[in-house]
Amino acid sequence: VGRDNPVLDVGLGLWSMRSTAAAPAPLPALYRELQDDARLAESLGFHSLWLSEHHFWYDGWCPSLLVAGASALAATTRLHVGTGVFLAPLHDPGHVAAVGLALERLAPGRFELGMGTGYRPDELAAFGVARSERGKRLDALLDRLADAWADGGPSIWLGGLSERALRRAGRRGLSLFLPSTMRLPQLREAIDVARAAADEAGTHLARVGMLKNAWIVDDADDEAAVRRAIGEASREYGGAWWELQGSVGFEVPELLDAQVARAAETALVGSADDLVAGLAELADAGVDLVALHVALDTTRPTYRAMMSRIAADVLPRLS
Amino acid sequence: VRLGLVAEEPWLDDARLADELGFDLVWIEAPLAVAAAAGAATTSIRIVAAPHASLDAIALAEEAAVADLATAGRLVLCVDATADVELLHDAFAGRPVERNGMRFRVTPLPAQLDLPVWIGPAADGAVTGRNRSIAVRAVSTGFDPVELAAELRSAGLDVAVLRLTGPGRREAIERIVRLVRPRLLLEDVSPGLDAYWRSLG
Repeated sequence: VGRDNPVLDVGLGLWSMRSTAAAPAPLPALYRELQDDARLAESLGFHSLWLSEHHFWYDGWCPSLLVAGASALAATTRLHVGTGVFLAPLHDPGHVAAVGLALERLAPGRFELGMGTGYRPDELAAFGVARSERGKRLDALLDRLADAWADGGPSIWLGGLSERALRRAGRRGLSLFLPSTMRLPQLREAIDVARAAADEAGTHLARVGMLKNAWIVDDADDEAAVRRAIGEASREYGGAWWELQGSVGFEVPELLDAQVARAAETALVGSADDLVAGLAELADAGVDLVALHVALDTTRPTYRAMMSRIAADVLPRLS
Repeated sequence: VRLGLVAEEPWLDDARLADELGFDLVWIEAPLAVAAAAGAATTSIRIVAAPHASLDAIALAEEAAVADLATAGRLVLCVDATADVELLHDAFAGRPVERNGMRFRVTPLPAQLDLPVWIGPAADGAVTGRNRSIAVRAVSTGFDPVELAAELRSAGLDVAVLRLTGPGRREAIERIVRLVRPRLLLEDVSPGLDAYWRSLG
């Protein structure tokens, strides 16, 4: 892999169709824009578009990614549509198996099922899932899908950073889908853990995907503002949902600030050259698909222009 | 009589054709994801999602709301008689629901103020919908248009969903539009008009 020519698929994230207090919008328009954005991403040459899931939140955060994803698949002909991530323990395995096969009929080879375990207590409780059962339920779903999709089905990616989660992906010969805020040493270590588990099981880790907050800027002022917007995009749900050292984010403002700052710092923000170099580093570490996270609620007015800019200035320099 | 077409796999070709030909609705016997896909593939037609498998009512309410948003408010949800319709209506209205000792509201809300929930079809094809007489009818592609129109009119149906069986489906669908649908809205059809419609085929 040459440093000037990183080899990786570049997709875009992360559509969740939210009308937040910070960035209100009509929900029907957001679902129409999902289809428009999918067509735009396809025409610009991006590999994929990724969706995210949550439940029972005032902003409408999309709870049904297979349904929303199907509309994006039907709006396009080549684009892959993925989930980053689908909250596996909250869904009925038989239903996931059946819908996955329907999506495969609709759009062969174009649906990518990225899965995680979820963490928000209210979601788990409403679906009657104990926190301690999440891994077991994910494994049960994976067993079911391995059987139901033996003759073909969507590709499976697994999120999660615990050793157990990383080893699960390797052992089963699946792909990883890693979060944006990982730094390079941690990223290399995670990939090593998954690969070692794959070796032990006599299989190989299929692919390594990563979400990455990213934006092209023209100068230092612009960069500071963009990093702030990227960080702030996580403040509301981080404050309301994340458990930071035993307390909910908003109750421990300094810890929440640190998380927001981490999202800002780890984002790939700079010139087009900086983005290409950053992607090359990820490719060197073993990542072969990056979903550039540009569609934040805080960037809604401008992310489409950024999609075009990345397509013009970054995609041609990847192979 | 409003006309619907039961879509055959892989669903979207039939959905597009029915949309282009001005059918009132397309009936999709598949997961709600397929209904959402049909919404993206069409512009005007109403989409009846008739998922086979029974799904947890909360998950079903979420999927239906997302499908309604993805179809710009063109969804009709048709469930079997065992579904918790009361919970679905509460969820769609934004009223609180209770589950596992939790009280919460299902999000997002659908695009429609009053998302239609139909129940059926029964063994005879009857579907229950609010203030509507609805049925799914199997029709051979070799149908006689005058007889079919007369039958649909005399059945007193508000919505007739046709499940076409046999060879030549596409041609049969076009014959429905040319020779059956006009008769559903006209009391008398003169021989000259009938001959003119047949000449269009």
